[in-house]
Amino acid sequence: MYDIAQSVMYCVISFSFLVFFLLDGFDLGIGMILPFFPRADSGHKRLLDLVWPFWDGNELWAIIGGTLLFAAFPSAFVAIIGSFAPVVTLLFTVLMFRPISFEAWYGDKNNRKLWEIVQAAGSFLLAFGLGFIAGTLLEGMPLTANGGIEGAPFSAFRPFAFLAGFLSVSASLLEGLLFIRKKTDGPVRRTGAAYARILMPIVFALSALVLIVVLLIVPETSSKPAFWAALLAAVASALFLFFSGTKKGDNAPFYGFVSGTVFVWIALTIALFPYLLRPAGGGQGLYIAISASPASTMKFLVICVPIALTIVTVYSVFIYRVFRGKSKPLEY
Amino acid sequence: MNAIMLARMQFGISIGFHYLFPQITLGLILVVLIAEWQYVTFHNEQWLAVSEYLTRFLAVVFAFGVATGIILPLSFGMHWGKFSLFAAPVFGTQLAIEAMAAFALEAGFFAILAFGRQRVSKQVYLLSAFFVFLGSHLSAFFIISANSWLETPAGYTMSGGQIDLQNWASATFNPSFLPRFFHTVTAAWLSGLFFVLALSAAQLLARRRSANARKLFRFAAIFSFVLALLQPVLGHQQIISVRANQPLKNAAYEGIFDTQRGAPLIGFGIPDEAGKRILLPLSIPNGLSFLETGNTDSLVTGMNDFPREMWPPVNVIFSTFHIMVVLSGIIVAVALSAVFFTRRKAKKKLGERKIYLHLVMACAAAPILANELGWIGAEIGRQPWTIYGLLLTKNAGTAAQSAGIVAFSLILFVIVYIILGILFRKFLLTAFQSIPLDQKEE
Repeated sequence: MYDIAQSVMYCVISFSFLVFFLLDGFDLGIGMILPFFPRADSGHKRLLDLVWPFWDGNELWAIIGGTLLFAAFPSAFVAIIGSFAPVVTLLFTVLMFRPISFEAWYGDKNNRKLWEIVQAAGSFLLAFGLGFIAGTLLEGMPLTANGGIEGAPFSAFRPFAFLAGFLSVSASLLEGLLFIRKKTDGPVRRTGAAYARILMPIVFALSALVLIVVLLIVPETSSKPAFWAALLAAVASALFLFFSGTKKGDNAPFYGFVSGTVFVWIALTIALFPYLLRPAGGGQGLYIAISASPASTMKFLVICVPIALTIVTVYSVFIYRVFRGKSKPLEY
Repeated sequence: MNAIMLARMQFGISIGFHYLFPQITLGLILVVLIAEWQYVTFHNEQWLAVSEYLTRFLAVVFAFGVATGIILPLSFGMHWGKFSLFAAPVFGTQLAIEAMAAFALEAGFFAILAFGRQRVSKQVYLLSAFFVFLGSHLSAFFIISANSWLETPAGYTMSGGQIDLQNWASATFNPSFLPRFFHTVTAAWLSGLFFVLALSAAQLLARRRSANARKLFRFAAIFSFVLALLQPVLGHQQIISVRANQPLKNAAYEGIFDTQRGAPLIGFGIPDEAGKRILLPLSIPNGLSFLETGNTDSLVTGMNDFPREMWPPVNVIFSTFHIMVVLSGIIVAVALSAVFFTRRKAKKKLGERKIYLHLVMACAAAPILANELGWIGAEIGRQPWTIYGLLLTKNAGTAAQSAGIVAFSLILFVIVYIILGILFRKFLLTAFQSIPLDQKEE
């Protein structure tokens, strides 16, 4: 029972961060593209109108994932957050200005460029940070005797982490652009769709590169059939995304992207499992059995968390449906 | 300064700054919900105007609450590693449930509340307001429960040097929780209502004949007067709970050094911790014994019964507690005067009482300050423990973390909070200037 509970909680946490990546992905992508988007046709307002009502409900999923990690695998939470404290501090300093920058952009018409840069910087750092951390967990780091990570944060600055960071940034950008295509019309939609076509091959190439490197640094992955199944589904989604991109419909490419991301994410989760941080330098790494909270806690979590997340998902879908279709300008 | 002291400052400042916003949110969403309910049920357009107006301010306050709140769970992992490892099964679980059951509801339906009025029916909009109300109050429920668990841990067993969650309900409804919850939520409502009171006072100063502002002022006045009278009763319940669960903290609040029968109620004084006495005391003989038990001769445990190294800093606890009590008196006075100046005969002249309205605006800070002081007293009053009786603060930090790393986040956050504070004021002013509370004047 105890080991099943650990695996279930592992999947639930991975699911939370996936939902975060998918939902906040378009917020971050739109945030990053903002300074580079044509100002004509009140394009910037249309873009921010897509994000403002939702960013907090989206960012929420990172909080759910983070607090569940805290509850279910405390030693991983402490090792990762504690060892990267200066980076976390910097990241969240920027992040604190994200909600503020919406309020400021709409209220303070004189400094809009400044707030767009704040949006873009915050979005970039968050997207990059997420990929960077995922890459670091996959590549693994040696642990210290008192539960920290050896040499962190600077020893984590390795090529693969940067590669994963850039994949995360470019994928968020692409999602943002496809979301613009899905939700707007006229010249704003055309610009979004055109940018998306340029970016698409880059995202495909980076994804392929990351998956190949994962097979090299985590060799046992190649013996897991589920990994190959996920990979196949991801390639199919990518093909669907690529060919639907030229057609008239605006929803299909977005859902193609979502499906591709889900399967790449699943493949990466399979590669990482059962570790939260893969071993390196002869250590044993952080795997679920040594990081998990005691049995009674895990039993409680494994019963109540899936129920709670189902309820959250149901009403989140309702809220998104209220704002469905091509967006209308926000009145504020 | 060592890493623990710096980490305490970092966390205290972060949560103290964050706490400014949710307390106003709790009160504001209550008023918005009532206004929306009045509008939907009785088709009163005046309440619609009030709801739309306050929602705009709620959006600003809410954004700042989220911005400053997201960092808090991470602070445990950053600087309180041993605490996190030890207490995660209960503390982390409560934070996760708060995120899933409360914050998700609040943040999700806030999209409809702030931006969806044209997209849903009146009834769905009212329901959305209710869900934001419910979400924010559930959030308070779980956070105060987790915080109370640090004061009176329950529902756990020990498993290999770590807490294990044994019974979630007893951990949640730990002995000190309910009195603290009712006391804190009432305090938050008062903060929100005084915010509304100040806002309508400012409206009246700008447009002295605004009928909606007068209506809102009267509403906030009556409501806050009732709560201000209720609050000492709830505060008293809380003290009874502290007396039962943490007699040392009770003694520090009240400045009682020697265990005694017929203990005095000390209204004013300067604690002399080294001399173990209160200088210049102004007290009511037998008052404390009577208040705490209803018997003038009952026994009150003093601080001297406990080893000196287990004492919290008495000065801080005694003063924050007593200033909070003084502030609650000011809150009652302001609310009473506001009721008085909006009685039927005087109502029309309210907009002309410029000095009074300025005074009301200045006093809007009183409940917020009382809240912060109450919280500081409760937290510092738990020292030297992080989890009362289980984990000492000096053993709660992250292993081998240098003071420099903690100082870095402390300094960075203080700079950010100063900037955020300036922006908050600016956004409130922008909102105030850009939207009217009512279109036409009488």
